[in-house]
Amino acid sequence: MNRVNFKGEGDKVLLVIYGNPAIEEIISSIREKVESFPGFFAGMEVFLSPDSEIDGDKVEAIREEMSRLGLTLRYGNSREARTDGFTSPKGSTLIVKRTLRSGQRVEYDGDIVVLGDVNPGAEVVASGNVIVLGTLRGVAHAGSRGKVDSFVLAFKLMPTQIRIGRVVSRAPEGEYKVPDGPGIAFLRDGEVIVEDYHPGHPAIV
Amino acid sequence: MPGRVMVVTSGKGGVGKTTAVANIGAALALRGKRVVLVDADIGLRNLDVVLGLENRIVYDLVDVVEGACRLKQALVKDKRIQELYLLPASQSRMKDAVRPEQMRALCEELRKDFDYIIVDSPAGIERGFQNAIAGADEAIVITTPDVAAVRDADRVIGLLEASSLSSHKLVINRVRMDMVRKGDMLDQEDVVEILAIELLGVVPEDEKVIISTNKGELVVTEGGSAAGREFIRIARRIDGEEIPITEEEGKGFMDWLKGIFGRRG
Repeated sequence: MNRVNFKGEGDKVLLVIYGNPAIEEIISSIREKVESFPGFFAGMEVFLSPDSEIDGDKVEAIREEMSRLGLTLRYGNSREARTDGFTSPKGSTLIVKRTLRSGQRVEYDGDIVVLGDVNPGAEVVASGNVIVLGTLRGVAHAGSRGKVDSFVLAFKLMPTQIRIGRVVSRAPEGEYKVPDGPGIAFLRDGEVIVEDYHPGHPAIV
Repeated sequence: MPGRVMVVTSGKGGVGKTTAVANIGAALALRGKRVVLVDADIGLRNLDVVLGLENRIVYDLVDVVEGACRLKQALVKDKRIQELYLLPASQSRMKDAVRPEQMRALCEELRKDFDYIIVDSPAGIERGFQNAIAGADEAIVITTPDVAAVRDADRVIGLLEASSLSSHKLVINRVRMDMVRKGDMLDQEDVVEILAIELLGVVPEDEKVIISTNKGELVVTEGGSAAGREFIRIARRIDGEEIPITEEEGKGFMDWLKGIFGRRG
């Protein structure tokens, strides 16, 4: 099986890396693929999407090779990580300055703050925490790469589904009371717990 | 002054797009505006049937973009209302017979002759939808007060925003106030809270719409129809009049009372 592959996802192109291949293997696969479609990749932004941890030296080597080939590499958790319409001012927080509507999905290696609502059918996936300064009605996944002390926090928490780490929790069937104030979801003993949020809540310390 | 190109779209089918296009267009034409209704649902045309103009079609939109006829030849004049025209869709061709840039050019051409160009979009978000929005300045998103339609409307609004068509307004269609009062149907506040765009009108469910649609007649010209009255109000709002959305059936009795006293005070 090919462990290095380009893949289209939505309007983005991802460089997917499975397992932990040697840097030589990664570079030669990239070169082979880019050169077999001359012109196709020119000037393209490619998002690095490894399925496990990848070390910084490898990322830098890939970035160098990509720029030699005329491509730009984007990788979460670096200062330049950004997706169209979203800006990340600094460090590992992505700030989404609008409401996410049905069918829209934001994924980021770090924390995500949404300055708007997350509507049903929209999805927010963060390797860190998800904070929604609005109503969360869609799907939120915090700690998507296994960080189990991640949390989901929203002004109004009425999600379709919450995932933290590998634990999936869905809204109760039928009618249920939604608290008026902000809510927080976090893991306790391997289960997703939803509580009213107050400053200094133990889950965020 | 060049005309305004508006696309009427919904995502989900069956929410009343075509009926809304026909009635809003007719109401604008009754105000003396020059209006053309463009059926962009190529391959599944039905705006002509709703207008009762099916038997007058000679050429269609695909003929125009392919140069098989001149634009004026394809326009079908309405049989009741002066200044109302239809550019019918093709029934035999498929959606990929038209490209977005052709639609854009067509709308530019129509803009010279008409005050309002109203494009009826097909359901869905694929090629036909992309064609329908290509030449538009503004969009009217139609939904019914049910969860599935609202979800699809939300998706469509997201796509409109992404394609930089940022002027969009909402019409909630087929509202049954008796069910809303019992809490069995989403009310307009619920819908607007999720979709968060400007409300253009709330149209009650009205069986007269079904009756007149089947006869190729329009509720705005028949009179005595609650839906027809609201379509007329929507047309006036589009045309720049400021009419508040507190109509007789749109809200509860107390709100209605408040509206009356509020207006006096």
